Amino acid sequence: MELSRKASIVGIGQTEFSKNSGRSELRLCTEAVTAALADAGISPHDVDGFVSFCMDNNTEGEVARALGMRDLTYFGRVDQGGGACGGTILQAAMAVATGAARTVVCWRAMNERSGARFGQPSAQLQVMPDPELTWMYVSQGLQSAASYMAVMMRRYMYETGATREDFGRIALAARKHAAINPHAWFHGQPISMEDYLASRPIAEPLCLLDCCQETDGGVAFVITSTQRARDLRQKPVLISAAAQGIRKGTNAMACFYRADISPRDEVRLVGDQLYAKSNLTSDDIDVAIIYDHFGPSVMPALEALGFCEYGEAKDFIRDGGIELGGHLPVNTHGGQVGEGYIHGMNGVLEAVRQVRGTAINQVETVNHVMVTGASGVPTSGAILSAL
Amino acid sequence: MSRNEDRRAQAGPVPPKVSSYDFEAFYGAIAQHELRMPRCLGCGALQHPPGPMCPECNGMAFEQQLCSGRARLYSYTVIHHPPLYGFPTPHVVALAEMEEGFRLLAGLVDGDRIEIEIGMPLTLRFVEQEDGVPSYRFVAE
Repeated sequence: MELSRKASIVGIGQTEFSKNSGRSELRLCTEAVTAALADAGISPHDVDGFVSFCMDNNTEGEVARALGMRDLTYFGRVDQGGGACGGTILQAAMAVATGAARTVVCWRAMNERSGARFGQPSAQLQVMPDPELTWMYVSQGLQSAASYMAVMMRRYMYETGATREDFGRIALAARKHAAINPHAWFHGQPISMEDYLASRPIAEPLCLLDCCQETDGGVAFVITSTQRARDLRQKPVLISAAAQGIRKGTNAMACFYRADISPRDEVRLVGDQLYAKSNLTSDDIDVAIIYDHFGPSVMPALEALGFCEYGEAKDFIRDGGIELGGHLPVNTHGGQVGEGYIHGMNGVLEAVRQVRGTAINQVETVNHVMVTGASGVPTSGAILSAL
Repeated sequence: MSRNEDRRAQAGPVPPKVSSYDFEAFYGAIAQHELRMPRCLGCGALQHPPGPMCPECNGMAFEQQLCSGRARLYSYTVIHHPPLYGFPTPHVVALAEMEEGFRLLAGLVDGDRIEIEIGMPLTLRFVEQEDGVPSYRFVAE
């Protein structure tokens, strides 16, 4: 069955992004879902499908009860934290295309800053993924996502000649976009290269300004058939393609044993599928929302997605290349470094706004937007398009 | 004090070792101050990290090959934050290419006091964690 363009995103909703929401994760979820359904002009009674993250603490039953939903016929989850965001789109589109459900809500809601913080040392986390491997790293003093990514990105620097100034250009672009976005945590706070280079080291070569936010918030979107989408309130945003990817040697934040340890292989697998399934190429992409758990990882992702050759991202991002007005505007909402960290789901919302033409940093003509999940973990992505 | 700081204060000093059938031979050798890695009896591939099956040929029979502990630095990180119990701040973790051709990740002793360069020679040293669990670290040659 060909999935391309069969399903569309017809509604988006979110809460504010903060460091302390002051309310439950279930409340964040219901606020975001209600906002997305209102945006779509669809009643909660008409929702019959859910897709969320394995890491989301809200259960399907509780969300359905809170929203007064009726009959749910499909509910799925996607694992791998931020690797899951495009996977939720894939599952929802498949559910709609196969008839498993007619109207699917995807959400991610969490008190990631005021509750359980993912950036803590793994030794203090209550759940370890791949427990034997994680303990092997914990016992050697490798205990945070930043330190895992640092090992991968140090080698990337060695192989490509990328410098901290190059990494800084990613942070500057994100913070420039975030500065204009009133929903961004760093609204009104752009940074300079001097700020970046003076930022305190977290896990070298990564510094504080490379790290994504820790955020409390909820994000939701609504997926239904493209046929039905034409009659709904908003301009339909077509799912031209959605895909997941694990490539040999992809392991949660620790792709240490494959030939190329930079966080690139799994993104390549996702990108290749997205282009093949949508009959598009990287030249057709007008805006890219590239997962920035750590800003520097945007560089290998740009290469993996075919926007430039391996090792050439440092040239691609020079002279404002990924800023608004550049040859490929990237993370126009400010990314997770600048706007907020909702496991990439806030990036999906930005992709939708760019296609609709309603983004705060709107790119002039947008037909196709690439949005990706976390690199260096089993991941996913999607291409969203105008009708 | 926030909920997270609470949990941090209560966290045990060293988390209890997590192992399984697949890791027993590796840690058993470490306790004997030896680095041994499973070599597939079917196709001869050396496997790390340990697992139940050879990813090259799906064989499930292994011999535990004694390895030299000699390596070259492949990549590394200098960790400044958050501070980790049982490790100095900053502290260096090294990913090294072992002489036998597989990669191994381990802390680098006194990594903050030496000049670090990718490709530099390292050797494996056997140590004990604070809870007495046998472990290993890299040292610069």
